[in-house]
Amino acid sequence: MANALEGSITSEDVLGKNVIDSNGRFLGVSDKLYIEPKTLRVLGVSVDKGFLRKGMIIATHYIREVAKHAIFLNIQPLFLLKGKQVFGCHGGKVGKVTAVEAVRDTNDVAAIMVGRSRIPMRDIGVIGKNIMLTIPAKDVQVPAKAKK
Amino acid sequence: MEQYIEHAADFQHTKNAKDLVGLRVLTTSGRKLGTVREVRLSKTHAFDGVVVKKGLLGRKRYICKTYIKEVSDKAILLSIEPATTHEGRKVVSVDGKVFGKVIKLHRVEYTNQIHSLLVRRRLHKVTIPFSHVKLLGKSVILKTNYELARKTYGKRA
Repeated sequence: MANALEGSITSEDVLGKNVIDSNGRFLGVSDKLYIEPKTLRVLGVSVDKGFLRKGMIIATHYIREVAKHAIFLNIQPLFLLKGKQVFGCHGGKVGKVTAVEAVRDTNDVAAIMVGRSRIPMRDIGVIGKNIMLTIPAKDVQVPAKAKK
Repeated sequence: MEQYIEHAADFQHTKNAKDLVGLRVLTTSGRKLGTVREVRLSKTHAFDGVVVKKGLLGRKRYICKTYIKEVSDKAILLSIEPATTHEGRKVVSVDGKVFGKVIKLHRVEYTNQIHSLLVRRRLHKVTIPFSHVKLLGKSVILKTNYELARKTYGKRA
């Protein structure tokens, strides 16, 4: 039994640790483990982002490593895109990200919303401090307002 | 307009240097580095680079043409993420413990290559070679764990 448990970690090793994303950003502190009742498989970890801030749940396959002092993720959570500036490929300003569409419940971006414009993933070039598109700012399509 | 041209681009294919002043300068990650304040020419009167500054109190940076990827009507796009933008970031050991904060980056001469990081750790400063850095992102992640980092870089700079 002792040999079987060798190398395993306990809930204490996971909870209460800083959660750091793939870019080195501190996201919050892990506070709960989600376990499937029948198989007892760990589904994910919830992250507390602080007072009055909505937490999130990270699925286990997005966890790269549970280190001694922190949990490292292999992704940058989608919600971090909200509020970033969007620029066209020549540096023209498009606007700020108002919403992010994900591919089902994954962390993959399907599209971003900038005001009323929907920009699909294929037009997104670089996601860093801000977002650079692969198309010029003037080519971003703004849908016509619906008539009343 | 009369044109006098020899071994140079014709007027249609040139840009007015005055139009560059005030353009925003973006790094590879889309970070706004500031706006162009000056356009600098070399001794041979060729375009050599731009002086960029952000806001009233921001620092002035000279970006040479080597690091300029594109000059468009809306912005100047750089081919680099200037090293000094990483100053002020947290330094974290590979096991996730905060080791200190970057206060200065030592570069190889004036290039964008980082040589080492000057890190404030509690009340003293330590120098960490760039080869010991695993990730340079929102925070700086070291290749070593906290205990080893404490022993290795524990000496004052």
